Amino acid sequence: MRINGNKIVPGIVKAFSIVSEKPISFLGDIDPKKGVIIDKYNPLKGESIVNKCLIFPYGKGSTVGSYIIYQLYKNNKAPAAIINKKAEAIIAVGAIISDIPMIDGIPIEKIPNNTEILVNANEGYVEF
Amino acid sequence: MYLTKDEEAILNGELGEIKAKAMRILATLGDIFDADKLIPIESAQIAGVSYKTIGDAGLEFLEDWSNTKVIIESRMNPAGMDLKNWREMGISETFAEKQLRIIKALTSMGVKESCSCTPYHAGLVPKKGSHIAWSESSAVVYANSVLGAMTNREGGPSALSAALIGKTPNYGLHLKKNRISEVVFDINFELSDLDYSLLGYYIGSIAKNKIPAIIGIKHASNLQLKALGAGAAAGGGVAMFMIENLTPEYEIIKNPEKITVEYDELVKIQEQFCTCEHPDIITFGCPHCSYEEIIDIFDKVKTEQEIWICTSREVKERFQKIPNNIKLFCDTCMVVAPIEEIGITCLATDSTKCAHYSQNLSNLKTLIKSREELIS
Repeated sequence: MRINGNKIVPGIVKAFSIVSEKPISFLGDIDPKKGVIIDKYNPLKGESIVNKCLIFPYGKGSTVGSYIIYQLYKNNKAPAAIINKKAEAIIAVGAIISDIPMIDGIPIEKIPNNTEILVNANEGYVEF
Repeated sequence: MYLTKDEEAILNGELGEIKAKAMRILATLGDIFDADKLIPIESAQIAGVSYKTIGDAGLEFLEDWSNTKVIIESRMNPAGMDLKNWREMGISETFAEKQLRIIKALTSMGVKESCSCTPYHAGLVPKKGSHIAWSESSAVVYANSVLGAMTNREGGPSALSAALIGKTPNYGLHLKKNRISEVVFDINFELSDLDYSLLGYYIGSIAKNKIPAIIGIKHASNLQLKALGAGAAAGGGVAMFMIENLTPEYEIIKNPEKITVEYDELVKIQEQFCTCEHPDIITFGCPHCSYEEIIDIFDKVKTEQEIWICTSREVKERFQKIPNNIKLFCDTCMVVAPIEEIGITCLATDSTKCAHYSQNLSNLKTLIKSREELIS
């Protein structure tokens, strides 16, 4: 299945999906040293986002979140790609400074969890 | 969003990798917010300076970007400590070391070491109609509302990118058509100095990200409007307000939502911010005090309790003699300093913004009163 969206940060990667139905605040919801979800209200708490295709509706919370994405990248714990329903400034800025391919405008409920996904952010589509 | 040939070239790395990323940030934000193009800006005010707020993540980022230069007048938001007198504040060596590295990274980019949320009290006063990229929330609301300059509420990296490129995407409050209010607040009572801060916080909590308009305020000083704006930006996400016959701009839509403000609402907010009776310390300077506000405190102070006043370095340097129980700190403020780590559990303030963040960010107890009451 192929779904078209909008390219936000270029790049092409293949990675396994981790789909969060809840919005994510990188400051507070993600451990920047381990790359693990620590938000106690998220059913995915404890799961790793490292080298995964991280899929969630949109970012929320502090603008420091952009820097947390950067810290994950510097610690080699960043996601391989980010897919959002709707991009906003915190996540987009974090993905740009960390060279993480990113697409938005994707109906994320159609993407299954833990499945290998091709993210083509040069052209703006995902395939699985 | 449309990019000129020169802008495309920067995006493709003509001026190096960092400027390419800065351009990508501006271009992407332009796409997300439906901007048509980039427009030149006159100044940038960059938030995310305190080690308390940005931590190791932000420090590492700024150091990695520090080999490139800003091309317009750029200032820093307050840091986590007075850059010279941090020991007097009780700041730890570890914190200070990291904080000074952040400042060094920013100064090597050409950002002026003037750490303030009130650059307009420190020689940087944007003209009406000028485009700027500022990020501290009270500075943004003051620039838009009182000075009539045009800025969105920028994040740290987007303001820094704007400073490196000298441009910002043309959307939001950079467009005249968006500088219009949909909600009007009617005030039927006289306001004391403290009331401006309380009223701002109340209006912000209702208006959220909208532009509130206010009727019924006949006279207000710029310092009172500074307090109102800071409260509105803390209580909601207000980036601009308008007051009939007072602010440089006053545009409202046809049939706006109308809200009559009851004085009781202000009393409720004051109660919410009075969670202790005996403060360890009395603080002023949220937003940073002007020269006149400090003179007023020095002239009228009677209490012997310790008072901390936060201001810009430019204003601090104008004072030689300081009363014994007063400490005048610059480069920092109570919101972004690690005050929860330096033995303060309850602080007194005249600012709803300071009280809001002291409670929510630093887990402190607060007492809010007027400046006159606090120093008497």
